[in-house]
Amino acid sequence: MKKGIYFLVLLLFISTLVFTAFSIRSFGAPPNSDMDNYIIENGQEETGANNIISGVVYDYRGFDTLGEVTVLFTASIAFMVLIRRLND
Amino acid sequence: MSEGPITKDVLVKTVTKILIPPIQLFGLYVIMHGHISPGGGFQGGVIIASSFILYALVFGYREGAHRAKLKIRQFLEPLGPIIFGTIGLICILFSGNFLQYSAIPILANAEIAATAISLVEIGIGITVTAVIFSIFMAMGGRKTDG
Amino acid sequence: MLLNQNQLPILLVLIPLFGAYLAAISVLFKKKINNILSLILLSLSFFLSLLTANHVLTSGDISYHTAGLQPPFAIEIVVDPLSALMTIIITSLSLLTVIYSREFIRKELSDKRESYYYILVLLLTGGLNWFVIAGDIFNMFVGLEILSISSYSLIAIAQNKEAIASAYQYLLMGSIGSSFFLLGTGYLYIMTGTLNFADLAIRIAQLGLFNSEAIFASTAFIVTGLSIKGAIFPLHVWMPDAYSKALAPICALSSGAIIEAAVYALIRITLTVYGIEFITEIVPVKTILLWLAGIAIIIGSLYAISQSNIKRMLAYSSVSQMGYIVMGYGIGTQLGLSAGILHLFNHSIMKACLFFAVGAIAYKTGKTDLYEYEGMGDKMPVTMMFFSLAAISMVGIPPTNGFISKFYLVWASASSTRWIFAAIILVSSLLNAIYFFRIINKAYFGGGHEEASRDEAPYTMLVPIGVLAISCVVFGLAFNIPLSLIEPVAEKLMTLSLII
Repeated sequence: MKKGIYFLVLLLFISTLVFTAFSIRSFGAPPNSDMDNYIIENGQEETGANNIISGVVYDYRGFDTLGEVTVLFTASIAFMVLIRRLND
Repeated sequence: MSEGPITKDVLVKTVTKILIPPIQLFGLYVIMHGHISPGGGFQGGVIIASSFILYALVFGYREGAHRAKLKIRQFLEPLGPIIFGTIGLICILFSGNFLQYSAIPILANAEIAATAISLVEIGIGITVTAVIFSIFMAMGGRKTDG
Repeated sequence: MLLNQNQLPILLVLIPLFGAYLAAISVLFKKKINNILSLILLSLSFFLSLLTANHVLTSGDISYHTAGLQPPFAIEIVVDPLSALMTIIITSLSLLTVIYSREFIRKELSDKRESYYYILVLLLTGGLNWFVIAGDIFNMFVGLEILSISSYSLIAIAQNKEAIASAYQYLLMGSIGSSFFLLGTGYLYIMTGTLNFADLAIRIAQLGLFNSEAIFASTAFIVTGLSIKGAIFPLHVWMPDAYSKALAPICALSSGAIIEAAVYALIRITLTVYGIEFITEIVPVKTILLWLAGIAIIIGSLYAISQSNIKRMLAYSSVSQMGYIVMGYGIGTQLGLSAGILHLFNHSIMKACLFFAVGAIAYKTGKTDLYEYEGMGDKMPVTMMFFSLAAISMVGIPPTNGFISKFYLVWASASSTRWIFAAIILVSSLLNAIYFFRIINKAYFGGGHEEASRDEAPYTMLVPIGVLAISCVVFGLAFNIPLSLIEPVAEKLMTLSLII
């Protein structure tokens, strides 16, 4: 019974992924490319980084990057607390 | 993993000793050139951490813990976000928005503003190195002081 | 003034996070300052959140562009009255948690683990603030990650086997929730090429994506993911186990802020990105959630009655209370939405107070089972009085805040002629009364008067309980204060129509 439910949920999940795969736009053909174009055209000028990816990661979406580093830091604190045996 | 070295093979030890400096140099290169070429703090940090992990694997857990002490790692772990956040806050003090590097007078020129990105990447590299190696040591070791 | 008022939201995020980084360094040098440090920083952020609310009410929403670049390209932070209300809930609760933890944690955890506890609380506060003020769906995910990882570790920090096992269960379910949220974000990004909430809404309408299966899937994934995080029936199964084993202040913070924030995000995303027409007519998210909420209210209350461990009972009561909030949202009128969000605000006060009180009793006497509560009214009169006040509020007896929001909910369901839900709320109030009055009855009239000598909890624990219990009454009378922050947003969200 329980296994059947798990199997049904899994089936639902997989079929969602498969069916939606057909309605997603094809690769390399974005419906809206104005965002990409804006960053390609103005990225270097606005951020000063020659590598557009760095410009996006550390400047346009720098706040996200701060968050990612914080996630890493949180993980290390979690390790300190839970895995590494503290000298209790 | 045992506490001592996993191998007594001279060949492995010698090759590791030769290999570690280039790995770390390459890691530093990836971090420092992040704003020009592919790479950045996360990637370079993992490369440098891998050199430490290699060292700990070959020369043993205790030797690895001795080379990169827990206290130093603990100090380095929050350093990346502190550098990142401080640069962001300095921008606020100069009445710009958070992370608006060009608000800082020295960095007003966009060309120079890229140095702020380098600084941030160095910080992230430090944090990633410390965290990845700490996680390896925490999961690998049986000792309490890992 | 040095700081522009528009810089307030970013400081709400950065102050707790910076505190956490500095506290992590301070662990290396001096062990005992983390409590004071977090107390100061959280008081500061509480003050800033009040300033933010004031600023938002007087001079309109704050739209903050990080990096000083244009929003759809750079990350935007949006603070409207509702997110200001959420930051007030979060910062005030974590401040009270830190005050409460001073004595509590010293008894429960070792010195070293104690200092890490405060780092994690600071990270959790920063992550929650980040989560509620985000104006960008991926940025919201980053906040979700910070708050989830710190909450998993906080549940497991008690370090007994059951706590770790239940935290592991929470970790598994929470990770599924997070990855569903990320999958939904991915679908949205691949279809529209943007992540900003306002921009997403415009582009979905412009590109005519309302019939696209990918957008349906994104709705399903985001709603499911956030339902796991928000413990919405039937995805609440992690909660009773986690809460019965975790430390009491963490239960209070978690049921008072974390699951609330998840439901807030659910309301925010479904109403701003997809719009009210989409989620009522095209994908019936609201109807499904409405019926699930109706079932959750009854089932949660019934389960709560059958529990004898009080923390477990309160966890099941949270399931039913989350049902009220989601029901308000699912009714689908402006009145219903404001009633639901008002209940969200009130529930965080009441439930945090109850968990704090239960924790104080366990701290003093070690009793966690409701059949052991005999004579507690004589033993710890002040704590028990505050507990009863919050319990009365939970049942919904005037003049407490629980009455106001339940009244609003009944009114909202009656005015949209959904009589069955009005009936459910009334029946559930009765069930609430059964399980709360059972405790009050045991504590005051259950015998055991003889051996009871007065042994009250320390002041640092009584103050947070008292503040919350008194605000139950205060916001029962002055309910227009939260409503003044809720109603403009409810009106804006319900009239936002983007289907062209």
